[in-house]
Amino acid sequence: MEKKRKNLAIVENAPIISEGIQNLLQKSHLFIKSIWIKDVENLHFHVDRLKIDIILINPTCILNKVKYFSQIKNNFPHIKWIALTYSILDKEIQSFFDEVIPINDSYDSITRKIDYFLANSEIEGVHALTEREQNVLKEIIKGHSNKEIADILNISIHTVMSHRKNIYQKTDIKSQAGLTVYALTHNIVSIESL
Amino acid sequence: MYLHSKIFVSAENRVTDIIKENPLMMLVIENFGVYDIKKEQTVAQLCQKNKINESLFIQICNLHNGYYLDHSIEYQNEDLFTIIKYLQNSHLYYTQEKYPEILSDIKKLHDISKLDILKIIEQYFEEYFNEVRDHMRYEDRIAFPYFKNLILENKNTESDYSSTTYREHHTDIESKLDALKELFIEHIHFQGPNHLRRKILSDIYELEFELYIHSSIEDLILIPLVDQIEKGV
Repeated sequence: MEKKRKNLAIVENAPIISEGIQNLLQKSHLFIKSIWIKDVENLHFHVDRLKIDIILINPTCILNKVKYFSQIKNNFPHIKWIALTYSILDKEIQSFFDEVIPINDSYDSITRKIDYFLANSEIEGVHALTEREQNVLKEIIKGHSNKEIADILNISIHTVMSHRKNIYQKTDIKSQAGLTVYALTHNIVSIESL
Repeated sequence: MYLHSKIFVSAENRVTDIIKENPLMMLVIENFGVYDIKKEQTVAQLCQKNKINESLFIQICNLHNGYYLDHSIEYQNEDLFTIIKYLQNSHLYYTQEKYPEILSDIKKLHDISKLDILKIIEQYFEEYFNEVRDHMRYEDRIAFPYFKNLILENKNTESDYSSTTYREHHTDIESKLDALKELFIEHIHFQGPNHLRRKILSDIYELEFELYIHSSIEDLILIPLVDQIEKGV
């Protein structure tokens, strides 16, 4: 499974805290890019544009805007929410988060908690190709036509076409070179088999 | 990400010193449209002479030195022209210099190594380059003139266009570089002179770093400023 860099958003008004966390994360072994989002009103836009995977947030930002934040949570269900707390959290607010980091937590504990989410978000979701689709992809890369692929894999042309359509939709790649690179970097084919 | 641990640029620094610290500054300054650097000139003097908002200039220099964006800076509507000029000049750098250079090196490496995979990478890179060129051309011809008109005509032009449309058109052109890195690191097995492969790889990292800053300027400086102008603040 390929490991991709994750993007973490820090939503916190105090610059000294935000920059402190950014410096701390920069020094860690974590494969992430951290971004300070100050513009809480447009959080949904930044989250989308910056492809955020984890949000580290001061829960007081949420207090009067629970509805707005719940909406973001629903629209981006893959995102993990971590509260950066200064005091004990209200039970109701606490249920909003996947994890809580107290502000006086140790360096190791903070990186460990974030690392846990990184490790658990590596599994590729709906975009992964099925085994059948991968087999069709291997034949497309060799330059075979639908008819030839149907004969090789012993399936109907309609099935080949439907797999082909799924491959294009899932990978968002149409060119021969693009598909070859995709297959190589996703370990579907090896360089020797090309 | 490829970050430098460098000095924090301030108004009193000499321009030549900030270039000595980080040679990428030469490109940054060129992208601001400045080619004439005097030996003793400070950052403040350079900005004043060329009518560039000093805070904006320092902000962009420090992004290149590995510092995060300072959100406390407020920009004036007129800064829009400087930002657009900067982005347009860097488009020229990408499309006329950096991408063609990498493409030409990939071709040379193919000639030397005769590896079939490099022919595929060459096609892949050309397709990617075309996408980047289309995207930048769209910004230069449609998005930027619209933004400038917001100020020049001092009103919202009667068009369906807005910064929202710009955002929607805004594509992530950096992610393909990850695939290229992986190809050059993991999938090319070649027993021969390795200098071109190393050069291509470091060019890709440099390009990634530049593009990251470029999109930060667009997303975190340009778009909020256009929003501010559109709302008539």
